[in-house]
Amino acid sequence: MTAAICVSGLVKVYGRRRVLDGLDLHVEAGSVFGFLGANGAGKTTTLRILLGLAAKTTGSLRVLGCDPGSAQVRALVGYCSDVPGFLPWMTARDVLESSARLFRMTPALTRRRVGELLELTGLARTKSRVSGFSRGMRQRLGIAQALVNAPQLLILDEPTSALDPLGRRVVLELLAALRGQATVLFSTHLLPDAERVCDNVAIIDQGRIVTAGPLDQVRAQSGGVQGRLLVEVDDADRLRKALANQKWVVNVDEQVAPGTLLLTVADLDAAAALLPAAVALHGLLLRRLEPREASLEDVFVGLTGAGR
Amino acid sequence: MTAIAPLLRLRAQDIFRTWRVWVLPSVMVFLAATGTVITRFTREILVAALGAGQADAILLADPVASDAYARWANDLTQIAVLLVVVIAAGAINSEVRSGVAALILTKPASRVSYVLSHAFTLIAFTALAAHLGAVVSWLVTAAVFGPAPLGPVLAATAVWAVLAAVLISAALLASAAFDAYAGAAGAGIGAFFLLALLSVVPQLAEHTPAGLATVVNAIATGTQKADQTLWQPVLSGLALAGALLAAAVLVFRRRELR
Repeated sequence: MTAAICVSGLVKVYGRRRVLDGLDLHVEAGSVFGFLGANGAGKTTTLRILLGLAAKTTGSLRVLGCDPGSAQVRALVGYCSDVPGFLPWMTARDVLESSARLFRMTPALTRRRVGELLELTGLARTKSRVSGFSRGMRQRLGIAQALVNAPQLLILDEPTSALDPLGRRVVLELLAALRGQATVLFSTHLLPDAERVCDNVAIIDQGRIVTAGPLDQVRAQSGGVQGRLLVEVDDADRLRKALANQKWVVNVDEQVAPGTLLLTVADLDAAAALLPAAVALHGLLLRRLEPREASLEDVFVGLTGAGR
Repeated sequence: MTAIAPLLRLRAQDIFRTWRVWVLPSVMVFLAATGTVITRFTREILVAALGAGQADAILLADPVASDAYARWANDLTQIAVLLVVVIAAGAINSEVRSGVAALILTKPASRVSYVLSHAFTLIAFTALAAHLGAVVSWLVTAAVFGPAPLGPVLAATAVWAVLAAVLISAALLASAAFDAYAGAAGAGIGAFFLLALLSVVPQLAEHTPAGLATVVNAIATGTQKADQTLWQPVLSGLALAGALLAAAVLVFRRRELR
């Protein structure tokens, strides 16, 4: 597949602070790409450079085959910041019409597109000025204005951070629906959102990409850990001792509930097959065996040290 | 200048759909109307304030229409300019701070268009408001002093608009450069006082924008002399406004946006 975004060795320095430190990023055209990282990891700075809002220090970037921020690219890109700003006297319709005019859309197309987007984002019946909008309404309007030109590349900075569960679901479904039609790059620290809609993800930590690729592949990179097994037996302490030297067990967590252990394993399928035999060998009664794939959160925490 | 037309429309809406549509014209009309009345009744005001004895000690000629126009010119060059600078100082940096600029400039709108749309709209609106004030000044002057010519007050106001363009451009340059509104306003007001200071030097007053305020007063009162002393401040003022706007564009093109 062709690359919608290709970044190589991107460095951004503010004073003595190296915000981006040789960042490489490859976003395939038509994919939904999650850009994950803790606060201050460099996500927003990367997006701002991709949009031409900030200048790189060194490195090479191509966005839709052109220089970032160039006139050709801006005609094809939609963008929404985490806290989108609007002129306070405007209504939602004003914002979208004004955006459409910047793309030189015809009045008929503008009317149709604005109507669709107001419906899509649940703002069609909102007549009040933007100054009276909640943060969630602003974010929905921000997403609507980013879609006004039916962009080839949609760049969203924390698009769901201010939304209620219903709003989040609508936005995530919208992003998923764009798969194949447009490239979506969105930054987030809400890992379940990324797991829900992304084909590919990249995790950024201290200005560098620590892992990137298809979601399943990234999950499998959690220090060789593929997943976890939740095991309930009649005597958890005996099972813990029995599994202490087994090579296929990476770690045995403290009891998560009476009689229940959480095992971290390297190969989930193999472990699920071996565990019942180990339980039987030690005369224990197996009550529950529940395989759990490593979550993106496991990978994220493992790679970035977040939460430590 | 990509998307200059939609941006000009947006700026015009930003003025006409907010309180700003009332502020500048109201101030202009207020200054125009009250200035003439104050000029006409200066003696009476002094008598009321100081008492007849002390007021008589101050030698005051009987006021005439040109005194009212002089008052209008003074109000423009001493009060209205400051208001204009204060309005222009927040034009760009407030939109950068709020994130409005980022959403506009990731669409097909160039930074050149962005700065110039602010400049054109502010200068045009200021000139319109000032000319509205000029007409009011002429009407009130005619009502108070009898028939008065319209030409001098309009011409003086047009020259003042050049001074306003210089100061708006300076304030926009500061607004493009500084995040803080107070810093930008301070720089714009500093530019005003610098011009006022330079106007003390006769050579500068004759040949540079520093002389614009003097020319405004001279035209309003009908004491303007040679054409040269009119056109050199005006043309150099327009050139300076253009240079300041070019600098504002250059500064803003290098600025990183949130």
